[in-house]
Amino acid sequence: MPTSDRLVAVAAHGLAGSRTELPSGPLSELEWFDLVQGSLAAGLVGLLAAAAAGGHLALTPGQADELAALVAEHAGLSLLVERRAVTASSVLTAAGIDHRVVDGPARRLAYGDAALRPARRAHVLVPPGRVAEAQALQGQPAAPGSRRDRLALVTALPGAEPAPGSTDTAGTEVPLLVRLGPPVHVEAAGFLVPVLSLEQQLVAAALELAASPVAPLARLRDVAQLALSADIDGPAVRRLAEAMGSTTALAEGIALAWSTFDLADKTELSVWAQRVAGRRPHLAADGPTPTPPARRGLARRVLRRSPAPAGVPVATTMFTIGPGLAVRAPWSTRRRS
Amino acid sequence: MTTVPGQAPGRWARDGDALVATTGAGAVALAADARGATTLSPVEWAVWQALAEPAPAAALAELGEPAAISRALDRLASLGLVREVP
Repeated sequence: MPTSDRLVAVAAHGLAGSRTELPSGPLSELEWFDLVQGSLAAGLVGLLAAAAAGGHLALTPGQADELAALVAEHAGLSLLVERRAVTASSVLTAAGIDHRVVDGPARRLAYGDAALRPARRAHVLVPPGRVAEAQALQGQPAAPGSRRDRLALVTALPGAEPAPGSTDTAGTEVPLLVRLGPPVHVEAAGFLVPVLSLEQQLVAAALELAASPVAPLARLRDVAQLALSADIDGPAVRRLAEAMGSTTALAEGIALAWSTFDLADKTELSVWAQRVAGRRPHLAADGPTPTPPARRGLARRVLRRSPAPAGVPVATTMFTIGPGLAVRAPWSTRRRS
Repeated sequence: MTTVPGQAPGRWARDGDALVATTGAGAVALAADARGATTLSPVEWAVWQALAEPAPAAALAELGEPAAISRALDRLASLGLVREVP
């Protein structure tokens, strides 16, 4: 089984209805090295540990020790990020600055725990008109890599450009926080933190996928995790995407997640997404609809190796997972020499 | 135990400002004023989970040997993750 298939299976671990398969037997040291490096690069080490803890991945005692140390390190860093976000949020709340925590503690809504999907940095959405004030409240700008760099104050979601319809009847642009709608609050470290709701997180994840030249597996997992959440309101997601001018991005993100993780379960959102994504004119113009591949082992067929495109470092290989979508594989340095 | 000498043992409670993440092997915790996170042993993690509601040490007996529970409570208290309450 190629490392790329294993990575997709790790990213899909725990998703209801995924037919991806983790390796049944122990991995060789080289296979293990590749899988760990790939998981680290893709932000999947928490899911790798969960797969091993659940008995879905056979590890040697040495591999288990190495993984335990790695996941503890990443979970610890994620807690520091959460702490930073909680502190920043409490300061902003005290100053009366409306804001939403985009990730970090917000991920607990979908994942329930910081370790499964650890955050390296938290993003806090603030109104453009108050970002300078918000930054001043956080102290001096941090040097890259410093502790304060674990927090980023942002005024837009990645990929969320002002869309048609984002102005009111008077022609005034509607602020992003208003378009997103009210937050939900999660309790963390004794504070109630305003975070993006499940619906808002799903639209944000789809927007980021659409804006990214490669489709990060962890972000694809977010889309699937959120879309499969028992508490998500599908019609509300679609309404929000429409209001944000991102219906296509949402549909394509969900459809890509369903195909990448070979998800058998159908939800109202997945059926809608596959219908909308499938009828896009540029896709239809590509030719007749190909025969759907057999479901078993789908990841192996859709996640094929390809040469790195121009501009990508020589020691990097890309795995394509769809038209224009690829996963960077920095562990492949030795194989390309 | 961290009970004040001469006083009857009280109940134990989580510090509400701590953050905890579960890992495959146990958990990692970050106390309110800590500069770094700490890995919890399985017994410490079990004690933390059992203290979702304040409870006396005696109520934790089923989690392990009394000495192990006592050590776990002491370490969690020293880390600022739990505290004794009246």
